[in-house]
Amino acid sequence: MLAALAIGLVLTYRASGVINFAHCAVGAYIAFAFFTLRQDGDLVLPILGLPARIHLIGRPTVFTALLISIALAAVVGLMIYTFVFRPLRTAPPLARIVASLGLLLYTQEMIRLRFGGGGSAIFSIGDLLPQGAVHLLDVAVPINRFVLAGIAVVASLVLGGIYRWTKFGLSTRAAAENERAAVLAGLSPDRLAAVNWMIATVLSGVAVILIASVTKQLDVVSTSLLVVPALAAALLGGMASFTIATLAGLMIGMLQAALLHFSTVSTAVPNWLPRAGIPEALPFILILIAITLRGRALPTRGALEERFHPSAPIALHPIRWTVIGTAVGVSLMLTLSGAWRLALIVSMISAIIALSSVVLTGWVGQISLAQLAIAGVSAFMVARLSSDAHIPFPWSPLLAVFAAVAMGVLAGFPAVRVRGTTLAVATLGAATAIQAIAFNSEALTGGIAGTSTPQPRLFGVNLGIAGLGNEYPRAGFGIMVVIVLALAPLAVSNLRRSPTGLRWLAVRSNERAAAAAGIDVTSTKLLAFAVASALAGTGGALTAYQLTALSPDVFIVFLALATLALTYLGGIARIAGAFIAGALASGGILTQILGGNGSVGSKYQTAMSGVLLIVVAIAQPNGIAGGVSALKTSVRSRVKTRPATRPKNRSEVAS
Amino acid sequence: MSNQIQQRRYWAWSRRGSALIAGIALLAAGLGACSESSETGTTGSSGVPGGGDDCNKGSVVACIGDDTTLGKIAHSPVAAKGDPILIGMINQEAGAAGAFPELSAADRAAVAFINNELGGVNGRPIQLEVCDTKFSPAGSIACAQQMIEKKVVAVTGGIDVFGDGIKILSDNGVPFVGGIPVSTASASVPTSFQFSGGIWGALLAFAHYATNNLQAKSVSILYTDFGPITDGANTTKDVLEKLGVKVQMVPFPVITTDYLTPITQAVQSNPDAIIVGTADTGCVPSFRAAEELKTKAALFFTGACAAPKILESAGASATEGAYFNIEQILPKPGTVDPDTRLYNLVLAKYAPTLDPASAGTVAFRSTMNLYMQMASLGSKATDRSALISSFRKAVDHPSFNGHSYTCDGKDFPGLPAICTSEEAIVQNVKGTLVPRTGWIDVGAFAAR
Repeated sequence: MLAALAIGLVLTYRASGVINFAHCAVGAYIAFAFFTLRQDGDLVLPILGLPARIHLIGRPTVFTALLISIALAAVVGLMIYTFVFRPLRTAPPLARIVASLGLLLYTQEMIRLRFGGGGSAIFSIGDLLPQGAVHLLDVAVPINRFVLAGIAVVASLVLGGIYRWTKFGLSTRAAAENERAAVLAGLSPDRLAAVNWMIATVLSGVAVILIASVTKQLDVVSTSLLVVPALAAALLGGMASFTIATLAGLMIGMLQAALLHFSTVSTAVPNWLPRAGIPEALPFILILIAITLRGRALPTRGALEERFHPSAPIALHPIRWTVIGTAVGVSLMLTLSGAWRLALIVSMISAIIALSSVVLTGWVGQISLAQLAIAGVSAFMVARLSSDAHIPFPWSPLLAVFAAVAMGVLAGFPAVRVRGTTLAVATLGAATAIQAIAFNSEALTGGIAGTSTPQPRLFGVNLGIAGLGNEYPRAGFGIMVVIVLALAPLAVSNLRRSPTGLRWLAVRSNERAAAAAGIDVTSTKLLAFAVASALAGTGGALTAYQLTALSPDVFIVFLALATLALTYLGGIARIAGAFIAGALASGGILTQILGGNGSVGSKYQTAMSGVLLIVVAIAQPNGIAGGVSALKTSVRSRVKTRPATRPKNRSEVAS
Repeated sequence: MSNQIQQRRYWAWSRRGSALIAGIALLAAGLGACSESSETGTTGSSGVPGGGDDCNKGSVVACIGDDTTLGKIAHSPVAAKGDPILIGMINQEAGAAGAFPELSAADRAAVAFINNELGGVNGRPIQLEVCDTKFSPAGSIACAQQMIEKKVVAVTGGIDVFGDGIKILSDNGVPFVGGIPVSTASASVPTSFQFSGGIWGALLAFAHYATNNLQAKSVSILYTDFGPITDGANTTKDVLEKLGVKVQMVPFPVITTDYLTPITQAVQSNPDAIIVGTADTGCVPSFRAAEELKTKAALFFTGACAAPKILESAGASATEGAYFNIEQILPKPGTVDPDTRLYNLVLAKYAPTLDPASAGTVAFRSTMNLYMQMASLGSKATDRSALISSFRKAVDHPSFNGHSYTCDGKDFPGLPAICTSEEAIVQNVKGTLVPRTGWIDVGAFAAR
């Protein structure tokens, strides 16, 4: 069924130039709705503010439930296009990626909120396809797998036919080739895109329903992650060919099954490699192959795109702000109660990791979804170096940061070749592979049981977070984080002011122009990856000390997406944006304001963040920090018109 | 008897997708597996021991007879007032890897019953603070720290497979009472007191029945390769090998959808018995794989696999003859256990949507046992040290809706926090779960 999911991705890309990271999550929502409908006869609505459920019918038959679910999927697809991607049809790739990340966060959270069970199905998943098995080479293969593959192939052929021979299909292709010419020819790209979004969402929903009926499993995380292999298949098809995408989808599915079997029975696979991780890493390799073979970015649509980049102002008076920030931070650490102190620490560490996205994505324009994975590499390095190799603080975190830099530069190599959306897909693949191979390795990280991090000590002074009773979290650890957080923005703001910073902005604006001006684009990009990875690594090391027990779930891919998304929300090209992202992070200051972890308010934090992200992507690409700055400028300009209250300093303070 | 058992609705964990959760459920195997269905709980008082004239859904307290565990302690049938006493609960409430909100729901029902009808503890109401571990070691620690910050008197268990937070509770002298012991910490730290044998109990009960009743000479053990589950499987293997039984160990990955491969591997050695360490969504494919492979070995599944929906989904032919473990009071034929009846009435009043046969049974038992200990301490009810000491002194202490407990650290060899080591085995015979044993002391079995 990867094939059907891949076709959906190709469809939405053709229709509106969007790589929809939420594609499978939306499919998961439809599947949850279908099985709930089958069980209770309730239609579950995915919109915050509307009633959660409407009772439609007693217990519908499979056919009735499927029809209702298909209608729901079509409406959801139409709404997604109308309210999220239509306003962004000429927006730069980053805005569209961020909007799809917002949609992903929102959809995942709505599944958790609406269906309970923490995002796992709490209903029985019945058989929809024929049961039984056939024996091939002494191996029993369930018939439903063949039926599933057959459905995917038929869907591909039908769609291929529609897009090749029908007026609708030809119009869609024409609009994808040249939107302006299509308009002149009397076509409505908007209407075409809307219909394609509806078809794609229906495909995704039906695919996930069928997958769930075969595997008898449905949970939001693993289903949403299917987008990675589906993207690999779609990329192999150049985000254009249904046939190649279908074949690639089938091939990836079969290869993954074969790899899983091989890795389970083979003694050649090293013990440290997680058996289930090998098939999960396959899509990343295929994505790399696709990128290498194609040698260029994805085919762009013939639509006008804004060449807008968020403003990246220079921070004024960095030393003054560093001193003030440090003083305030230390004071808060010494005066706040435990829960608030912990929330502040979480926010500060998140801000450091977000700062890596500010540098890489905001200033250099490289959309990396692997920053949290790099933070994770550093965190596990700290844990293992400290607990197993007994390398003391500060050497273990320093070594871990070096490892993170190495990993970051490695992850940056695809960026030499591709950019924009393709780079986002490649780094998402890299993050997934790191998670599957490294983080899930029991030998490397302790697996799901995790690994403990010894408390850091320097010259006999305990800098750890652990303490008995009200002592937790220890202020000493908080002050260490304050100091690191104070130094990190100071360092990057100096880089931003230096020639390196100017080169970064030049590369962001136009790589060809930058190269023509004598800038070594490759080394400039790789330096940015190194700096960003150092920041992410530092944040990761602090996370290891903060959590004291690390497990792979701390760095799961979706949190990595949330990191970039929250930074965009805060202000992707501003240091202040990283601080805002930190404040908005789960478990941080906003969570505490909403009543703390587990409170009713914090339950809706992620879903609201998703909505806000979409709104920001559409209306305020400079993020909250940019909005605040614009507001300040606006107020100042009004004040300026009154001579008596003319301000002395009109400079913008970015952080 | 068989009719009684047939009415029982076993674990209703018809959800959650991974083998890990199968493992978690395995750890909890059979713990709540044998509650009466709710209809038996609303039959009124006439002729039923412990049911007074006022005993009904509106006044559950009137149903506490001398034959119930609660009837053995003094209580005032009034609503509690005054400053609340904080009790924590650490549980995996939500998360893609599995969610067990039925445990906290049962705890809340127990607390509501205690506060509204038993006069609370010394007249003060209990306030329950539930914390979700979100299925991570860090979440477990965060919950423990939250409990410490809120200065809870004790923490009751839900499900926490990692147990990192339980160690922190112990470091801070906070009692950790009951729940489903699914981590090594919960079964071993000095301030933990458990009323179930957890994974160790379930697997040993199977081994006991296989060797003593079926005279098995070779046994295959399939298990999720994860910390305490592996430990439980190894403990069982050691015990079996000491008895001269040939044991084949078949671990399978924590996250898997392929149950055919390990079951094929287990069947290939032609064992007399196969212990299948899975539950929940792992049950149906395991039942079907075993049926497809036409094994003649006796099949042992956890109580979690005896949920009616699972048995129905797997099919009668696949589940016929399978054995399951339970940890509930086994009533005499034709009777209803007084504790079970009281439990059903409380749920009918305070948590009407909660399935009485869910794992919530265990959480309810834990909270009631904690309440009884606190009530017995009088003015020292909120003193953590006194509470710990009281539990440690417990010898053959009555347990609500379960076997009596002894918390001297010796009940279960190597797992000092386990205070109850009794299990029982039932068998599926034409859709009816028929008891095959009385209580099996698996602690004593392990010590042999």
